[in-house]
Amino acid sequence: MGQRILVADDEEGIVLLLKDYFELQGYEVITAGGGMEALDRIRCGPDMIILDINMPDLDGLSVCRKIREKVSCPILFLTARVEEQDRITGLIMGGDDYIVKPFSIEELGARVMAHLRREERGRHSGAVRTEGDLTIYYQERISYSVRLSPGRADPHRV
Amino acid sequence: MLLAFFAAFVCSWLIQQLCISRCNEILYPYGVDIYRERIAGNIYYSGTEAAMYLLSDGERVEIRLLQLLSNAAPWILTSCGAVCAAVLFYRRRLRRPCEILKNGAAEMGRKNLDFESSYDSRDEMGELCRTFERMRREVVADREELWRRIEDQKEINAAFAHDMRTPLTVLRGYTELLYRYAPEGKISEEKLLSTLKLMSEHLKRLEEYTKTMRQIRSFEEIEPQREKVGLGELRARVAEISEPLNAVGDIRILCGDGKDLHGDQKDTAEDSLWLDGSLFLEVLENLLSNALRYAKSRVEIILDHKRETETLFLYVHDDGPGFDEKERKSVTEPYFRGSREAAADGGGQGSGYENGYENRHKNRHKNGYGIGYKNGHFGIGLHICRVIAERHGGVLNVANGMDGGAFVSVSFFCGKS
Repeated sequence: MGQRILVADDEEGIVLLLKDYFELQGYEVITAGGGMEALDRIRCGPDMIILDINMPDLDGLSVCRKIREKVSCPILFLTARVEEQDRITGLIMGGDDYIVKPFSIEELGARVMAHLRREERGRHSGAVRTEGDLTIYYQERISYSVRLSPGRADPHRV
Repeated sequence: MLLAFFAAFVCSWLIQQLCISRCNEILYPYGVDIYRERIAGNIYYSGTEAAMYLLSDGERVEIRLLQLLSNAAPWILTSCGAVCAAVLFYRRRLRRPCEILKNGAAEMGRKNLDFESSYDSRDEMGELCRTFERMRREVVADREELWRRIEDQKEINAAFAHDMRTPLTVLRGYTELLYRYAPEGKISEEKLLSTLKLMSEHLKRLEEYTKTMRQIRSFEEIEPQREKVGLGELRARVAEISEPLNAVGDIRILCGDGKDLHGDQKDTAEDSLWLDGSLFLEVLENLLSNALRYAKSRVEIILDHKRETETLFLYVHDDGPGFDEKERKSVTEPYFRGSREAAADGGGQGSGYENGYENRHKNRHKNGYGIGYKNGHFGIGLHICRVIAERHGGVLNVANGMDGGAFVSVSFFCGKS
């Protein structure tokens, strides 16, 4: 897939785990061991950021607050805290998703994929227009007209 | 009660006299004098039988009634008197305290201990109310102690659960990863071995957590075994422990006697303290090992004894970076890992992976002193010290010294009980 993911967590074990897993999935992984390092690595232009909330130097929520204006990629929080308020705060701060430790790595992988897919869709969002029977695909320069007759549905290429 | 009986007695005697005198009045015209002939007993029936037949019906009835009244009067009056006395006594002496006690019991039944039973009286009821009030206070104190224990346990459980999540995440994640990708041949042997090594390190970490959890629990339930020890003796013991540490490394340990702090010139070396020596040493060693980790060149230990409050104070002061103001309040919570801890510790795993990940493990540990310092400690040292101090009737406070550095003060109550 070739997309770039930034992983920031003060726990070395978790960083390694995520790096190994996502590299096996075909992503490029950049790592950061703390909030300050994460701010530094943002310059690489990741397509997705996975941030731990409890980092000693600069916590995940503060990092998110600082970068939210500058980056538009999805931000997913990792945390061991289960309180609802923290989930809410994380999402209000600009996070796009939240996963609680201990999590299933497959679930995390699926969520990351879903967020990246959505970003892709977003990029192509202006490319299709539908009006009544007529659907136009701008990128492919094709339009389709669907006329329904009783008992049959026939798309016609126009 | 006595008054009532006396009054009843007097009244019934009076009534009797009146009855007799009235009887006499009636019988006199018939030549009977009751007073004169009473001594012989039952007189006017036999001796003056004639007189009885001469009496008119009305007079006969009257005499009978008077007799009845005279006999019954003491009984009636006594019982009335007793009842009156009892009622009065209840109203004056028993009703209020009974109400107070009844209300108190009702409140306690509703699980409300927030009331006060006060009845100012020197008698037994007052004593009873005071005892009840004492009992209520004991129950409140017990409940508070229980609540505090539960909160403490919750705090530990939360911290424990919190810190357990990371090793669990790593173990779970790698298990899934290996399960999925090893059959596809995507994991090299070298990678497999290093992954397994990392996983076993995290497993060990989980085991350590379980151990420390039990350790904390056992400290919370500990009862100090107090023994008599002299202050001078204690100071000598402290010097004994810190002497060998002085010789190693670049940190000087000073033992002060608190004179500077309190301006107390009296020599307190002969003071006797009732102290649990092993608990005291546990605290000292924990604080000393912390101080040695962070100190630049000097650690000061001060022992001071306040006779009036029978309290022993232990102060440990280092010239290191001190506590972060924001973290100072939570530093005695279990498994606390503040920024200075994390910075000095470098994550605590030391797994040796590079991967562009900075190895921040500064080599400051001084093993071999046998003073309980562990690589990758979990931040329960200060918490344990606090628990011990509290079990010993004291408190633990952390602050930053006036000239910088961390200043930890622990007090121990050294009275006999």
